[in-house]
Amino acid sequence: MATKVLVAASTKPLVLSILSYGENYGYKIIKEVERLSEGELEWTDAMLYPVLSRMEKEGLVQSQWVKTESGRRRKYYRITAAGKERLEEERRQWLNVNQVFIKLWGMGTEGYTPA
Amino acid sequence: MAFDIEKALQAWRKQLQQSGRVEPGLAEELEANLHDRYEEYLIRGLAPEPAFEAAKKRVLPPDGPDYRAFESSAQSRPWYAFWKSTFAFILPNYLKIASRNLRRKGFYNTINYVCLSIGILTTALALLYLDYETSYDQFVPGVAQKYRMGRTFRSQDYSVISFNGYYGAAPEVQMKQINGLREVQGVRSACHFFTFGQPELLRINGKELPTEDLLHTNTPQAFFDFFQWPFVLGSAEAFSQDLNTALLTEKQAERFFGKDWKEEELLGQTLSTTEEDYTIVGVIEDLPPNAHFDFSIALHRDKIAYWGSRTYLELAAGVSVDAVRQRIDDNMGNINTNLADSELFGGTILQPLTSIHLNSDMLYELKPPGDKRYLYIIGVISAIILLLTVSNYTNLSIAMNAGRSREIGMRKLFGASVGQVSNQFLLEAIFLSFLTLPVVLLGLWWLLPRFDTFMGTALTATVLDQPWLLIVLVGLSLIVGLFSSLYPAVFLARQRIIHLFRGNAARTAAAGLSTRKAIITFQFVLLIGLCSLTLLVNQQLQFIQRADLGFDKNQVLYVNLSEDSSRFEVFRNELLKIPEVTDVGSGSPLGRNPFNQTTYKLAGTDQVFDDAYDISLDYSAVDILNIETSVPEYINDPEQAPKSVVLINETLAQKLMNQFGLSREALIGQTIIEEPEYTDEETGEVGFPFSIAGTFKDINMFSLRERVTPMFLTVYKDPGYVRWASIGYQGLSPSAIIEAVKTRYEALNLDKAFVHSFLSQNIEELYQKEQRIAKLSIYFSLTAFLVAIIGLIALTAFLTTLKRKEIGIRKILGASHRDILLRFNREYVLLIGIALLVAAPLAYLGVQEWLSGFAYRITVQPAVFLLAGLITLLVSVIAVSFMVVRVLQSAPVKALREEQ
Repeated sequence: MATKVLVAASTKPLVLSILSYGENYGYKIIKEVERLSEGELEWTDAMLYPVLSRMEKEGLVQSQWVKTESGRRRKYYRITAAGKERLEEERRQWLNVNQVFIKLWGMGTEGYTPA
Repeated sequence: MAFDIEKALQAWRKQLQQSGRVEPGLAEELEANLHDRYEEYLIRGLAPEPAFEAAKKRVLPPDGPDYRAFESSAQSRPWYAFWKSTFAFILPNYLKIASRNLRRKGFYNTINYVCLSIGILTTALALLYLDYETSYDQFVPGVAQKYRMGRTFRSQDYSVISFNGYYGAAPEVQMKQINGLREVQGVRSACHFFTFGQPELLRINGKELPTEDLLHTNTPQAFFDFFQWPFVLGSAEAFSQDLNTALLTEKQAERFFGKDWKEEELLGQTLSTTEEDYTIVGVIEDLPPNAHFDFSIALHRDKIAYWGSRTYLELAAGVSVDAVRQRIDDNMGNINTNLADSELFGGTILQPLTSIHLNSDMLYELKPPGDKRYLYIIGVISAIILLLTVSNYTNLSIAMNAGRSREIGMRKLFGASVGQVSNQFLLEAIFLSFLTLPVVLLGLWWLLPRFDTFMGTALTATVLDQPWLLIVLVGLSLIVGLFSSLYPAVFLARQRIIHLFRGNAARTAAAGLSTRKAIITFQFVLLIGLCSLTLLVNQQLQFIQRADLGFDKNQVLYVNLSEDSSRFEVFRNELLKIPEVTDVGSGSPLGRNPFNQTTYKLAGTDQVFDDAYDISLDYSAVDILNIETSVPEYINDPEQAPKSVVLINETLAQKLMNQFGLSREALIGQTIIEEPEYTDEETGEVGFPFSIAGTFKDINMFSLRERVTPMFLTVYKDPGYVRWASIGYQGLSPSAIIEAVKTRYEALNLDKAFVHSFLSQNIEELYQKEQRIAKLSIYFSLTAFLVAIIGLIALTAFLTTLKRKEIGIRKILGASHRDILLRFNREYVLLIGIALLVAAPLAYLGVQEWLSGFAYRITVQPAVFLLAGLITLLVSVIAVSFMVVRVLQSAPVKALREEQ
C-alpha cells in the first residue's frame, strides 16, 4: 500500500491523467486507479470527492450531472485547458523525480557514482 | 422481508448527515457511488443486503480516514480557514451584541474601560522601561564579541586598567600596553580611552565654555572601529591621521557654533584647552542615551592624561572568553610589567559590553550602573496593577453578565457551541481593551517625558515615534482583553441551558460568589502586599536620611581648587571675610562612591590586611564636619597640634585590639605600615609607616549600602596641594553662599570652571535610585488602590442593585442602616484577614531581599503589615459603605415593586 503522503501527492496528477483520456465519473476513476496500480492504490470514495470538488474550484476540471439509462444521476468530470497545463507540469516533475530514482537505484544505463 | 434499496439508502443518508464526516455538498455524489458499488457486488453474486453493507464499507470505511484526515495530509488548511468559514460570518453579530452591551451597561463598562486603560498604560510603561534598561549598548555593531577589560586588585574589581608607571607612563608605554593586548591570541582588536567628568574650560570659535566629559584616546582608529559612532561631518580616518585632532558631538557643535553649525566653516577650526590646541576634524552624532558611557568631545592625543584607561577588546568569533582572559594574564609581562609583578594583582576581567549597565559592580564606573533589583520591583508592581485590572474586569463581568443568562440560553438553544458563546464574551473584552488604545497612547505621550525626568531615562527620545510601539500596545491590549474575559467566558458559556432559563440574575450572581470572593481576596493580597512594600521602602529611605553618619552633612560646601597651598591660603582668607563662613578646610570630600582600598599591617606582626580606606583632612575640615576624635585638643587648637597625625576609625581600632589582644591604651602609639608590599629601593624602607595618634568615631563616607570598613584619617595642618576646599557656613541660603564664594573664586583668576557641590547634596545623590524607587512605589501603590477601589465600588454598586429587594425587606422588618452596612462590610473584613495572612509573608520576603542590599537597615516590624491591612480595610469599607448608603436612602417599597 502506498503511504498517505504519497497518495495525497499523487491524487491530483492521477485524476488529471485519467481524465485526459476522456470524461469520467468518480467510481470509474477509482476503479481505473485500482486496476492500473494492481491494487496498490486503493482510494476510498470519501477521499476522492473533496479532491474533485477542489479541483473544480481551481478550474482544473469541469463537471456535470448526467442522467443514466436506469434513471440514476452521475456526475461526470472533464479536464479543462488549465487542467491540461497543470498535467503537463506535473508530468514533468514526476518524470524528473522518476529519473533521479532510476539513476540512484542503478536501474538506468548510466548508473550512479557517489561524488 | 425483501431488501429495499431505497430505504437503505435513505437510512444511510441520514446517518451520513449526522456523522458530519462528509461535507454536505458531496453527499449526493457519494450516494451515486454507493449505488455503483452496490451493483458491482450484486454482479459478483452477493445477496442484496450483504452487497449493500459491503458497498457501504467501501464508500466510507467506519474506521478508515474520512475526508478530513485526507484533507489534512493532502493540503493543510490555511490558518484563516476557520475564521473565514465561521468567524467572519458571525463577527458582525458579535460586534453588534458587544456594542449594545457596552452601551446598555454604560456605567460599569466605563469603569472597566478606565481600569483597563490604567492597567495597560502602566504595563506598557513598565515594559518600555524594562526594555530600555536591558537595551544598553545593544546598538554597538557585533556587540556579542565585544568586551571591556577590568582587573582585580587587592580584593576590589576595577573598571580602569592602570598604566605601567601610572600618571608617568610615556606615550610609548601606553601604546605598548594596548599592542601587547592586540598580540594575544583570540583578540581581534583593542582600544583604550579615558573620559574626564570634571568640566574643563575650552575655547572654540571665540567662545570659552566649561565642558564636561572630554575623551582622550591614543588609539583613535581602533576606538571608532570598535564603537562605530556615526559621523555627521568628517571621518575616523581624519581623526586618526594626525595628532591633536578633535571631534565634537552634535550637541557641542551647536553649543559652540550655534544652531546653524552645519553652515559654519567648522572643520579646521581650533579648539584650545588651557594646555594645548587641537584641530576640529569632524562632528559625530550625539551618543545614544543607553550607552554605558558618554563623552562630549573626543581628543586624539599621544598620551592619555590619567593613571590608567578604559580598555576594550574585540575577540575573534568562536574563541573561549575564559581562554583569552587566561592568555592575557599569562602575557601580562608583555603588557604591563608593573601589574604582572604586583602581588596585589588578582587577574583580568573580561566583561561583555551588554552586561556592564546591569551587572557591573566595579570601582570607578562610567555611568551610575543600573540595578536589576529595581527592574524586578518595577516589573512586579506593574504586574500587580495588571493583575488587579484583569481581576477587576473578571469580577465585574461575571456579576454583570449574570443578567445575560437568557441571552446565552437563547444562543445555545439555536445551536451555539460552548466555544461560540465564549467567543462573544472574549470579543467584548478585546473590543473594550482595543478601545483603550487612544487613551493609552495619549497617556504615554503625556507620561513619558515626565517619567524620563523622574527616572533619568530617555524613553521619549527612543520609543515614542517607533512603529513597533503600536504593535506592542495592540499585542498588550489583546492579551489583557483575552485574560480578563477568559474566566467569565468559560464560566458563563459552560452553564447548562436549563439553569440559564431557571435562574434569575441575582441568584446567578450569587452562584459566582465563591469565585468572586476568591478574586477579591486575591486583590486584597496584592493591595496589602504593595502597600506594605511601599511603607517599608519609604521607612528605609527615612532611616537613611535620618541616620547618624558620624559627621555633620549640613551646611558644608565643596569647591574645586586644584591649586597649591599658597593659593588655598589666599582663597581661605578671602572666604573667612564672609561673616557667615565659619571655617574653610581642605581634604578628601565625603558622600561619594567607594574608591580603592589599601593594604596595611601592624608593625611587628605578619598579617597583612587589604580592607582600609585612606583619607586626609586638615584640622579645619575635621572641625567643620564635626567628626568626633580622641584628640579634640588638636582639632580645637590646630596651632598646638603636630604638623600631621594619623587617626584610625573605631572599626579598625576594634579589629586590631581583638586580633592582637591589645588594650586601647596599648594600641595608641603603635606603628602601622601601609602598603607593606612596597619597598623603597634607595632607603630600603618597607611600606609607609606611621604611628597611631588616636581614634575617631566611624563615619559613613559612602552610602549606607556599604558597611563601614577600617579607615585611616590623616589630619594635617598645611596642605601641599588642595583639590577640594570645604567651606562651613551658617545662616545663608544655598544660592547666597554659592554666589558669595563664586565672587571670591573668580577674583583668584584661576582660569578654571567653578565647580561646587554641597555635601548634603552629594549624599542625596548616592540614594538617587532609592529615592526614585520609593517615590515610584508610592505612585504605583496609589494607582493600584485606585484601580482596586474603582473595581470594588462598581462591584458593590452592582450587587446592591441586585439585592435591593433584600435590603428593602430587611428595612421593612426593622433593620437599621448600621445593621445593613455591617452585613455588607463583614464579608470583606474576613477576606482582608485572609489576605493579610497571605500577603504579609510574601511582602516580608520581598522586602528582606531588597534590604539585604543595605549594610545599615531598618528591622521589619509586623506592625507595618497590620497597618497596610488596616489601610486596605479602611479604604474598602469607605467604598462599600458609600455604595450601600446610596441604596439605603431609597424607600424600601420601591425596591419591592420592581421586577427582577
